[in-house]
Amino acid sequence: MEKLLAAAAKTRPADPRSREAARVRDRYIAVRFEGIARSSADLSDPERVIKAARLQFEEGHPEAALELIELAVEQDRSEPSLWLAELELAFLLRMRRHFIETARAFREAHPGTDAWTEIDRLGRALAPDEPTFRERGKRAHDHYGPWPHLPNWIGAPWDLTSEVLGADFHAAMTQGAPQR
Amino acid sequence: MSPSRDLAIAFDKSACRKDYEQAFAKLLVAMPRMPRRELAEHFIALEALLDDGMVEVKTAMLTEGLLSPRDYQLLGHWIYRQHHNLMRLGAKAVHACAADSKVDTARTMRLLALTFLHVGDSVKWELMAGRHYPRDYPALHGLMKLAIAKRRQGERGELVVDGMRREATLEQLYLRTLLLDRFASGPLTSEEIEVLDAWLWEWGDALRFEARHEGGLVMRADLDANGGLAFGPRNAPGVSLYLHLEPLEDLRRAVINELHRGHVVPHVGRAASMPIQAHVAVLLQLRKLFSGAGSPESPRAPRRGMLGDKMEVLVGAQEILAALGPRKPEARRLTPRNASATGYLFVTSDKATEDIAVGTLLGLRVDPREPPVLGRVVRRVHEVDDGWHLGVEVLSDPSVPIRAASLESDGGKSHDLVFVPGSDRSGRFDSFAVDYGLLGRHERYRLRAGAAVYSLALNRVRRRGRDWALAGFEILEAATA
Repeated sequence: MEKLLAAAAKTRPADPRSREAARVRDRYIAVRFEGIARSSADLSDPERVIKAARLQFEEGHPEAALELIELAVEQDRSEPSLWLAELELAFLLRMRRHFIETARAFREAHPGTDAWTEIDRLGRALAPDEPTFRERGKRAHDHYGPWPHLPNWIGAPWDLTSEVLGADFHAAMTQGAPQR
Repeated sequence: MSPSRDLAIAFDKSACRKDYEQAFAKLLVAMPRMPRRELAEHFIALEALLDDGMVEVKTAMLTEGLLSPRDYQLLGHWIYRQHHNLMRLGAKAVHACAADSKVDTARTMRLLALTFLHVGDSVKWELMAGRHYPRDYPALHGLMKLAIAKRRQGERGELVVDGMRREATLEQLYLRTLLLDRFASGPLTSEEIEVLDAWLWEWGDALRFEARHEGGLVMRADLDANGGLAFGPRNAPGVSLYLHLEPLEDLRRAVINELHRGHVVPHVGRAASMPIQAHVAVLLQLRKLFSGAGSPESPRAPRRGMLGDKMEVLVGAQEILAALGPRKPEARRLTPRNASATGYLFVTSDKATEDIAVGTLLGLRVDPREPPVLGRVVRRVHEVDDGWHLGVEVLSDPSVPIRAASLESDGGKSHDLVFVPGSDRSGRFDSFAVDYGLLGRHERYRLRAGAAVYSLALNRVRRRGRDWALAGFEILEAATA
């Protein structure tokens, strides 16, 4: 299998940064994430990407949520918020291997990050035997976001304004006569 | 009598097609009296001739706009028929050669490989021509049993396919056929199945059977059954072969990783020039298959028969919007054969469905007094002696009617579209059925509903089809009207 995967990797043309490669990647992003991103340029706003990924996750498309974040991380490895959102999604999905690999890669890309205490805590909960997570640092708070014991790196909303608006809109559209 | 490689071979010309048909007919007639070794040679030569002549024609058929609709249909049927005929002739030749001690096993296995190749190709081309011959699973399994009896199922041989040299084992070719079969009666288009086939050739090493189920997610072929691949271990006595799905899922992910790097897989061949949409559609379908969707354990809505009542079917957003207005448009009427909570199966004639393709948006008037229910065509296949089968996935909750809505953009332009309420009162699953063009704009829209004017942005795609998508949205603000 490894041989086969390596062979698949070898089929790619010589220059991965070629214009054609950029075109194919952009087209893939536009098709796979229609309505969310038109090209890789639309992945350069971390806040927007994280929000779109959270919505995908909440609607039961965890694979799409993770892939969207992965694409954005591939594009800008220096932006910590994207890595952290990926880690939180992997944790929520109980993707042990994915979480460990992403945590290691994040630490390598961002040595000395303040977020490691939190990653370490999540890592110990998800993979207690994994040596990567062993710092046992003390957290400043029990939890930060609306979901208990999670750091809310995926930006779940603190207030319910948008939920209330959504419910009002649904009621108006399903009860009233067609209007312009 | 032997077909000549000097024959002018380009099957877009009717004279060339006729030459080939004559060569085929001569071999068919001479076959019973022909020494088996000679038969094998003639079959191999005929097969090479067919492949040579089809390379460019097949590419042209998969390139939009190169052929007239009439030529497209004519050639599609012709290609499908040739693959089917050659496969039947090949199966007979294999059994005849296997029973003759003067023909060495290697030669018989080569015939068998070519026969499997054409079974697979005839399955593929059903999407273009419709299924006109019943699938003969026992014959297919019988050929695999023969390979196993000779202990040659894992032996690798060289083939020329669409003008390209490829290596494959017999079990790989058998599995290719069964996997294509799984999708030929499902939701893939002819472009998409070409992409799938290209990947199956790339993934040859993972297309391996095991004789026993020793855990993990598997599909199996029951060699004594009249059927294709099924999920999970066999619970009844009999011989089955098991295909592990996890290695295939790893390979699917490898294709995604390559797309992230900007490379299609494979980077040469017909599939490489297919639109990215086709690649993404296949990736999503394979995700379902490799995660066990359709297995006995995965939930499936119960079917109920429908007894002959015709249903009004509106085709496309314009017809649906018109039906939601005061003036009811003329709609075609189709008869559903069965129904479930998640969809309908219509069986109908060629004429009634010629403008309906996989991905077409439909409005189904389940109750003639109520607004239509929104649906999407997920399957369109011609079944032998039965007509066209249209599988339709229901997209809206019949208890919460869809309605027409008009979004106004910042420039004051209004867009008429279908509002599709979710069954949840929170509004989280509400959508609009929108034209693709609207999705790319990332604009804010206003819509008046009740006593308020809502400002909203389309921000995700829940379902997609031909030129339309079911888009989720976010309410940005509301103001009193």
